[in-house]
Amino acid sequence: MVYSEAIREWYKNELQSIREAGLFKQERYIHAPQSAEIEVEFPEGSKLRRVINLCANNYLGLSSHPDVVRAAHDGLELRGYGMSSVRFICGTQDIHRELEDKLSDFLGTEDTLLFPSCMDANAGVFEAVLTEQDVMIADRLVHASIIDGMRLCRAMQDSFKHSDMGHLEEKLQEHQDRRVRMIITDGVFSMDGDLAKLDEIVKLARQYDAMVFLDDSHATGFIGVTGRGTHEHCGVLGEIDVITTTLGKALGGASGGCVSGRRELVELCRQRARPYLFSNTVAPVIVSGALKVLELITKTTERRDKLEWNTKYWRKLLGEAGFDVRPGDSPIVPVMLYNAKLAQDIARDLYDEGIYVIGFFFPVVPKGQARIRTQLSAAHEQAHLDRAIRAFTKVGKKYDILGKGKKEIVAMYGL
Amino acid sequence: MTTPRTIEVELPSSLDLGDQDVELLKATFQAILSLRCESGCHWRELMQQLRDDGWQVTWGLRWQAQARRGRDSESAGGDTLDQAFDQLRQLTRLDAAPLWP
Repeated sequence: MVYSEAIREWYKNELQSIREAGLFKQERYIHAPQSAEIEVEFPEGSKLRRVINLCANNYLGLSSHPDVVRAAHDGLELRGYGMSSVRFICGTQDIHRELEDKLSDFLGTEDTLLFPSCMDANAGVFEAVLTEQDVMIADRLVHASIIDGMRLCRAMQDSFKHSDMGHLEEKLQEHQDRRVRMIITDGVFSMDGDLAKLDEIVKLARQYDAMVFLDDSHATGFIGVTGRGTHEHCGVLGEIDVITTTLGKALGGASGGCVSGRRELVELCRQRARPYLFSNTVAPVIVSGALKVLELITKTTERRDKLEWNTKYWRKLLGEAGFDVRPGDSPIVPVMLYNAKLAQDIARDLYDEGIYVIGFFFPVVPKGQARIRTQLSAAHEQAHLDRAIRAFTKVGKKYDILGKGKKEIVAMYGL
Repeated sequence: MTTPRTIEVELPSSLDLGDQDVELLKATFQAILSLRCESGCHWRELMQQLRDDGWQVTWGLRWQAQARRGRDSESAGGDTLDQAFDQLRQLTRLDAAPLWP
């Protein structure tokens, strides 16, 4: 027997150490399609509870949109269930290419390549387009999948302080001897919901002859006046060399991602990116759904506008109620609580009040920055948000944190 | 268990050695020892195989820096200590990346 008792014990201890570090992730079972209101079984075996969902990446509310579901059914009927092949053998259908072309049109880029996920796109892109003569200069708060991709790449790794343009400029000056300098950033940073200063980044890139890489997963479909993304919001459409993004959030929320950008870079990914070369691509049913999503959001900005309205309204409600909210424009709205136990207690009490949110605390966020991350959706109606703020206010009063800032909350609960 | 054998070398009193000089002397001496003690010439065979496979092979001595903390472990190399530690710092920064999805 290879899996001995001693080995089992070792793995048990590993799991225990994850629990003790506060990193143990427990799934909650949802017994309904993803939406503004869902039925949740938590803890396992308990009665179903109907709750308002304030923690999904379902920004445009398209995860269960009837037109998208119908398009997915059609895709299943017309193109089947699976491909049983990687793309370059016999795993590419006409609709894969159609989706890639439509994504290029939407993002304002020259070409696009689908990946099984954006995690895979980020894991494969750097190794495919950079060499040991090059340098990657990443914002220090980029997504974990970018970090993994950077680790797989032979180019030199460097970083700049989060959104610190002075520091980025120093780094660009320092690396003038490198063949390619690639500045790497998220468009919207997923925990604070702040936006990259892409206009300034592009300016520096021009000045110091650098390329710009953008992961716009938390922006594609709704940031910018027509929802193209952070590059549209910052007025630099067409000036980003590589964009990675996901179909797993606003664009229907199923799965899949892509690398989009300069034609040669995308073609190099097609030739070299290992997650593309060695795994099947997005299933036809998802491609069909995603095509419908693009059709819907290109035809009208109604859903994106509703999300913007919801975001402003929710921020206003939280502010008026006296919560300490991180400022910003994105539908990621963090309610700051600073203390880890307080964040957990409030998330639990909100769940009891019918509001589904998650408390984040160290080591997931830096020490002393515990918070509840709320995320808005175009699927939310005003009534949902009114109900949610009543619950937030009730719980906020219980813990006496309304109208209090960091100093007072820390004085009451510690860090 | 045998006591490790060491040798002491008297340095001229006029010699002003910094920490880095001492590290360099130690590393040089260790490299000479490992070359002297290497049994057989297995590496030559491997190098030849690599060349036969079409690789252009070079080899040499470099600085190696390592950092460990709990389960995390990073190591980086460089022609200078500055290079090795710059790279090590970057690698440990990657470990400090956010843990949220």
